[in-house]
Amino acid sequence: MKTILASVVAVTWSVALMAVQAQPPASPSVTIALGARQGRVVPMRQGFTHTGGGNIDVAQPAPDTVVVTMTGVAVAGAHPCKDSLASLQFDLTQEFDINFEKPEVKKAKLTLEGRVIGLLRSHPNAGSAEEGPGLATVSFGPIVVVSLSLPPHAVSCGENLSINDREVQVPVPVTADKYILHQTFAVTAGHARSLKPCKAASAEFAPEQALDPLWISYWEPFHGAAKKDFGFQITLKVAP
Amino acid sequence: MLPCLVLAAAMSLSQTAAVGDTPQPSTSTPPTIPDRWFFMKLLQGTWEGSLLDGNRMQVSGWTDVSYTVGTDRRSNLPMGFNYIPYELDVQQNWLRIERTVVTSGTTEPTFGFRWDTILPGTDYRFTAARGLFSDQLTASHGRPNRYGIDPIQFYGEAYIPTIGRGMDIKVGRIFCQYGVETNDAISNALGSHAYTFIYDPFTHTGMMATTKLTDAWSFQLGLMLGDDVFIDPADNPTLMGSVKWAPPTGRDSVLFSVILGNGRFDQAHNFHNPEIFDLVWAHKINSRLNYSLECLYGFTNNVPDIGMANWLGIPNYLTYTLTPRLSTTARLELFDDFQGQRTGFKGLYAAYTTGLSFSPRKAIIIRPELRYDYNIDSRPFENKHGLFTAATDVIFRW
Repeated sequence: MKTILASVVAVTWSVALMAVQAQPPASPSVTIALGARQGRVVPMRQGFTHTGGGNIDVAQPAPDTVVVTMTGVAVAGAHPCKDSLASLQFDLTQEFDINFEKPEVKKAKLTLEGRVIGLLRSHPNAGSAEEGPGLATVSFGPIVVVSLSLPPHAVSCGENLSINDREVQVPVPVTADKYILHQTFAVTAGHARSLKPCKAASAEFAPEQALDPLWISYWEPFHGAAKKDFGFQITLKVAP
Repeated sequence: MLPCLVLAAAMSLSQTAAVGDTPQPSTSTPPTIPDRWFFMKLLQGTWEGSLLDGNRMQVSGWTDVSYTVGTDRRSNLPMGFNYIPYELDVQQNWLRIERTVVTSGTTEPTFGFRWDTILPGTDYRFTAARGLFSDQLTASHGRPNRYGIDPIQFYGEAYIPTIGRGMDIKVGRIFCQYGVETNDAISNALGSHAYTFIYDPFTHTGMMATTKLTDAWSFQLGLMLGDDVFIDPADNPTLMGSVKWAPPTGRDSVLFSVILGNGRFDQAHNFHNPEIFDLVWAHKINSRLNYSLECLYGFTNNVPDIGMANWLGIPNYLTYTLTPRLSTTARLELFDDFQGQRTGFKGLYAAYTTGLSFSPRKAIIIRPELRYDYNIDSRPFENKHGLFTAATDVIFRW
């Protein structure tokens, strides 16, 4: 009898816990609705070069959040006859609406957060790599509501740099209306011509698959780096 | 009561985890890179390296240095290839330039080549082919230079995946395809070689096709200019062929090979044209222990002062893999040079060798070994029946 009773209590408890945990999260009172967008990534290659990735990913993990990620790789090595230059230029214009889902909400705050993670490598003889600047602007018609800039970085003459920058703007008040997000980014690598075998300079701001490992030195300084979060990412969030 | 509560709590927690799981981004593995050695690593990321990689080409090689001590003071011959005692001996400085063929994932024919050169090394003394830098063998007052070069293998290759399960055609100078041991030091478990290997052909020049009929069965057929001869008046048409049975999931494989020429010693050019019949059986005893048995019979007619010369070799190999970096091999060989035409001393040789193969780094192989050779009928080792040697070689792959 005790066993039966214990089993009944246990099953009841487990079902109750499941019911509590299975409840969907309360829907936010302010949401973002994505509208039309124009996204462009322009690769440029000259000489002994490689570009990879070149993605603009727009995701909405929650109704009140939008995440935009730009990822790409540019590599330039020493061509024996001509200078080498590789670049990827990213440009995105994304329209969106901010909607107030509950009548009691009269105003909301918009937060803009940006981060850039990646690697810059160069060879001592000749070669340079740079990234950025990473820019994002939210405007309402001609009026800039909020903007964010992540500083550019560059390496040359054998310098190497691992970058993990983050910037957060103070929340700004917004009303329910139409807005435009404009976001730009660039990765560039260059190398002067040389008859001598020289390792390539590279700007790597994309997950692993974008860069064929044969394009960079076997003894590269960032061997084994985790690359899944590489790229320039903007997070747009609204809250009452 | 308590066990039930614990069980229920565990159930609820495990279900919570399942409900709370969010789809994880797929963690795809980075592209696999084939084995790359020092030279290709050095070029990786350069225009020159990209040019090679883009054309499926590789430049690699190794240096094999040995030191042998033993009961002979001047020469360990007819034992080899480490025949020089009490001196540091660069056996192989090997340069390999190759373009590989694509054997899977395509129905289109692909073309490649390989160029292997001993540049230089003492092993050239055994492998040099008549008509191809073979004057080095008499350059030192009628005796061989200690070090020499030998373009030991160079061929063009075509792979046609739509014939059978794939046909590979090679044209050029090619390693002989029979037996357990081979010419390149990195492919052998022990530093020294069996008599069966040393006193039979090393290379052919001609055309050879290898066809895979099923997953288990494949055969080879080749038309050659002779054994260990390049373009030379001593050339004579020679057929080589083999049949191999090696089921992919099986524990056994069998290779039967023949070399069929005219079988007559060319007295006009003083050149040896043997007929060879060779059988290799390999058996995987378990995941660590492997056994191989080779039986080779060869003969030549028309040998001056002898007539028909024949010989029989039976080497056995037992290899135990202790760790991925360390293995040990024992070789027991019986080699009967019935008339003494191959080694210069007739009689039955018995040779027992045991050694280790240790790779402290991927590019370094160290192979210490102990060996005892005995000829029952003759005294080939500085007028002694037996020879004891202790040797070590180090291979650095670059």
